[in-house]
Amino acid sequence: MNALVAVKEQIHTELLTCLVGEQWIGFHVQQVREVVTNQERTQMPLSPDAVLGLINLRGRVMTELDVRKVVGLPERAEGESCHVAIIESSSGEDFGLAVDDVGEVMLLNLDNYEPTPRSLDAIWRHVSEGVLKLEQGVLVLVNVDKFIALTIPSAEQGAPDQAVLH
Amino acid sequence: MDEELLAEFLTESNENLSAIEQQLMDLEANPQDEEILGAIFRAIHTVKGSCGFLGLVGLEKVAHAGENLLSKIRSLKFEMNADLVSLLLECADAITSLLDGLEAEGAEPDIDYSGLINRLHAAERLVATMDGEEKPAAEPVQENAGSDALAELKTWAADVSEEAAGALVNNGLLSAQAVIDVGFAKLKELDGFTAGDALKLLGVAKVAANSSSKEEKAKLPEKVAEKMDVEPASTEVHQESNVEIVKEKASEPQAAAPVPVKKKASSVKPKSAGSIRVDVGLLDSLMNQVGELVLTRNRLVQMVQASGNMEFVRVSRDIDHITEQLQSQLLRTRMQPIQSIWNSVPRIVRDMGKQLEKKISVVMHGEETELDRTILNALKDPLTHIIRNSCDHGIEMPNDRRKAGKPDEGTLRLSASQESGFIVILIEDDGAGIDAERVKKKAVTMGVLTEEQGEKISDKAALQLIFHAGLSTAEKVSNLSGRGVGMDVVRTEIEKVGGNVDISSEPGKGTTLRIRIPLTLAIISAMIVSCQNQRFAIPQMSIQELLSAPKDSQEWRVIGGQTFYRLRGKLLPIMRLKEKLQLSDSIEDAGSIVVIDLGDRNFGVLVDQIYGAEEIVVKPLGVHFQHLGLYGGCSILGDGIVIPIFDCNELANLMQLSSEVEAMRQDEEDDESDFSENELQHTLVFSQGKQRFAIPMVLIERLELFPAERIEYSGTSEVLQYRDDVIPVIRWGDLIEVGERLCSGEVYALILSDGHKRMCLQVEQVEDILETPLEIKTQSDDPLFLGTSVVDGMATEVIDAFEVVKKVDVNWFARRSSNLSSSDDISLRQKILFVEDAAFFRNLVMPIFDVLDYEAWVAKDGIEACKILEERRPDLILTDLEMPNMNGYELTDWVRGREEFDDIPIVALTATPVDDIDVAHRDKFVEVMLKLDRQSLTEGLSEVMANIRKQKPLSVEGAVIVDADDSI
Repeated sequence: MNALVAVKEQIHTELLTCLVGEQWIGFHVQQVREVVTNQERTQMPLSPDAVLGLINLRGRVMTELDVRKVVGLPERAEGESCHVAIIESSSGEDFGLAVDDVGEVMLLNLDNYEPTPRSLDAIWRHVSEGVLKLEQGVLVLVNVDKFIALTIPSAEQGAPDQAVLH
Repeated sequence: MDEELLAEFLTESNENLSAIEQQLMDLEANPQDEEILGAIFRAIHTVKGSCGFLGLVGLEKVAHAGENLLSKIRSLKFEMNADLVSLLLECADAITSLLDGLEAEGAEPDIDYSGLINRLHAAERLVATMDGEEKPAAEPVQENAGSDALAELKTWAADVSEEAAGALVNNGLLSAQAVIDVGFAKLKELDGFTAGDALKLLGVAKVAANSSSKEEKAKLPEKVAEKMDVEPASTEVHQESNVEIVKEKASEPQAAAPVPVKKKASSVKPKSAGSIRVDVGLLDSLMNQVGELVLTRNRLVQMVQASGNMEFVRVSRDIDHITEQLQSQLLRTRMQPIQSIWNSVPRIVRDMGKQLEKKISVVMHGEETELDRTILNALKDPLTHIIRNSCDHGIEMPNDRRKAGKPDEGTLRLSASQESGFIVILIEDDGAGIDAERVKKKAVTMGVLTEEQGEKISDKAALQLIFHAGLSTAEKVSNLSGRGVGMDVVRTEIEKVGGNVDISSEPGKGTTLRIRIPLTLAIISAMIVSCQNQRFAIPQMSIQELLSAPKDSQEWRVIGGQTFYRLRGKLLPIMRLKEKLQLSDSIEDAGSIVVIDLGDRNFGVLVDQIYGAEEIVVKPLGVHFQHLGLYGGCSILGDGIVIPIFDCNELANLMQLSSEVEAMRQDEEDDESDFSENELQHTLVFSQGKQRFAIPMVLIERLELFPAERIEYSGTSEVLQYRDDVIPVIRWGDLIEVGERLCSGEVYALILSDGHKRMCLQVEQVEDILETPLEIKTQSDDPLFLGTSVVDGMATEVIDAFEVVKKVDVNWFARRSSNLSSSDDISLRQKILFVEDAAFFRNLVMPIFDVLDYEAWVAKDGIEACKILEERRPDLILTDLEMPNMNGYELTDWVRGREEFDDIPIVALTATPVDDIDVAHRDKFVEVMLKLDRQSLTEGLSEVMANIRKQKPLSVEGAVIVDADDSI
């Protein structure tokens, strides 16, 4: 199934927009449980790079991942605020994705839709389902499962750059 | 298919079949028992009858073939033999797996049992031939056998109850056809009929009505079998080739036979009667939610306590209580008796015994012990493997057993019991045992140990190597167990559910495997520690003890880059958590060591702080941590912070010492072993005012910190409520007239206990618990003190705990002696020569002589003892082993070298575990006792002395006096 068909099927899809560094990204609202502010987290020694730690969300423990680290941006400065989008992956496990800022919930407008451009940064290209051209710039539609797969140690061996070539 | 019907059928069939395995084995033991045979026959007969009604074709075929065979055996009174039992067991297995499939899928599973059926038929004919007559299997039952209505009914439904029969007769339902016509719905409405009865009756009726045609169908494969030379040997379970042939030849008529009808899987699964079935997933999620509730409760309780509002406190106490009950009851819903996995054991042992031509019986204790079902499931395979191993390698052939003076039949004992939050399972056999030397040799050849290690390793440690991958001692590898893999898998499986396993064995006597597992996985007791401000939980299961290890302690050693800590003469490898976990290095090492004991491996984890033990709810970790075996899960603490839980086995793997370091460690240990271990003891140090005091730990049952208000008055003396008891309180400050009396705030209290008596000693500040040689530098005049010693570099008064106890109760020690031997006549008292160099231990042991009413002569070393012996003759010599000038071994040799002392028994006293004394020496003593264990020392001594009294009557004079006393 090509990307356009996939998007057309989700024609009434709503997106949550988030900012990571300079890049706007969008998650499908159905996969976002909620957005919370910076949580007290427990660092886990020897855990994979992308893992910020474990957070306790009303009694549920979940792994918090730093989107900045995954895409190779420098670490957030001490005390700099962030938001955590609680995302449900298709495996059923919930994750917290730490992003720099949260924008709005918007309806996906097919008129703005374009397939993933070759010019996009390699890692974004790997997790992208296409882009939306918006006033504030290009917004990447992120495939959450692909994104999370990137952060899991065993999947890391197949370097993301190679995977993009498929 | 009617679901209600199916559910009834399944419940009933499972009930009937659950017993059949045992019954078959009972029958094998008592081949003549017609009652058991009848019971087995009825069980299979009922299954067959019911499935005819429900249209379960495949099941009916298997059951029918089994029934025919049983019927033939029954009618011809053919003697049951092992081959027949094996075959019938296989038939029961087939029925069970078909039923299981039916229960899971809601439709009959498509399994081909034609081979089994043919073998059943063949056996049936064989039974007939061997009896010398060929009769049809089950006589087709006549329908009009009698004029009497009841008799008519009984012809086809012999098993029907009187009440049910009455109901049928009243309704005119006499023939099988009439019953079938009236139908299930009406039948179950009749008086005295349950749905189950109705179903059974319908099944029977259907069989009776169709019996003639069925008989013919059933004979089809039989004819095929007749053509070929089917031997009775085909009943052997593992003769695959034979089965194949039967299958091939049987395939033709089989094709003509109706193909099992596949039923649509029903969405609602059938339920068993008497209880409801709950999806385990639902229970798991309930368990999780209760886990959350517990955590939320913890936070609530903390907040409420901080608020100080009494109303809130009361409500939160209620919530606290209810939550606890909810949790414990929910845990129980997941519990199953261990019986559920032990049920299969007799069968396994029987099959193994038959194949190996050994005689083995099984004895089981504690089948009712309950365990979490997840753990039970995980235990099943390891347990089976262990049992197979015991049968195969443990228990000898009957011939060998006879030669060894043992009964032909070997015994396998299984027992399960609960021990403080854990379940302990023992698997014992009375077989040949394991020769530790052979294990060592093997380990060296396999390269598991270096030759040097092989020489030094203790027997017990060597036995644990059995669990090492690639080590199997069986000289003959059999196909039943052990190809050199296995026991390591057993250990891994058990460790996966948080348990551990160890082995002990005595050559010639047998082998014991001990499995220790937590009751449940969901909630564990864990020690909370911190390292570099980060908290971790270590499961209590693996923790041996906690040590305080200051940086400047004398016990640290670094060998080949690895840190060790000297503990009781052994060098304990230490894991520096902050290095292993690559934590920041902002905090100086503060010294607390958590000693982890995994049976075969010991090591210490160096942490900054130990917070204490807590019950925590184990939660799984996400996919990002699956590659890190280090963490067993996580939990949430009372303050809402997530805390990782270590998996100690994985920690141990991170801790592997290289063989060079291991060798260097052993050298170092040997060098240091000159230091006398005997004199080390655990001592509690506390302070009062500016003074420091030491008190030996032996008498201290518990260390408590509680609000001063808990100390109450009873008359003029102070008391404390402790474990449903009221115990006297003594304040150390009052005794030595130092310090203020604390009436508010938290106070430290030492609970001293001796047997069933307890008292509380309140002290100002507990400083430390150390292991140290208590060397008395200066003796004290005050009876409260043994003298002054240097502990941790500081002068410390060593308290004579027995004097303190006497302050409370002068008769503390005397009372018990009243029911033991007591005599006013000094000359009648038995005499003990007590040889001990350490004043501390002398004081520890001497009160026991008072209690038991013995006269004691004290010597400070072997030389003094010899001098006493030259003057007086004791009834017993009780001697320490490690002493200056002349030690216990030398003294023993001296005594044994003199004829006149030849019959004086010698008991050795030691502070180290009895196992550590080598066997050659041990034989010289009638007994080796632990001096720190007062309870068993008291019992052991009085037993030995009683024996002496029996063997060697006192002087005639004395005996007369005793008699006179008795007659009063």
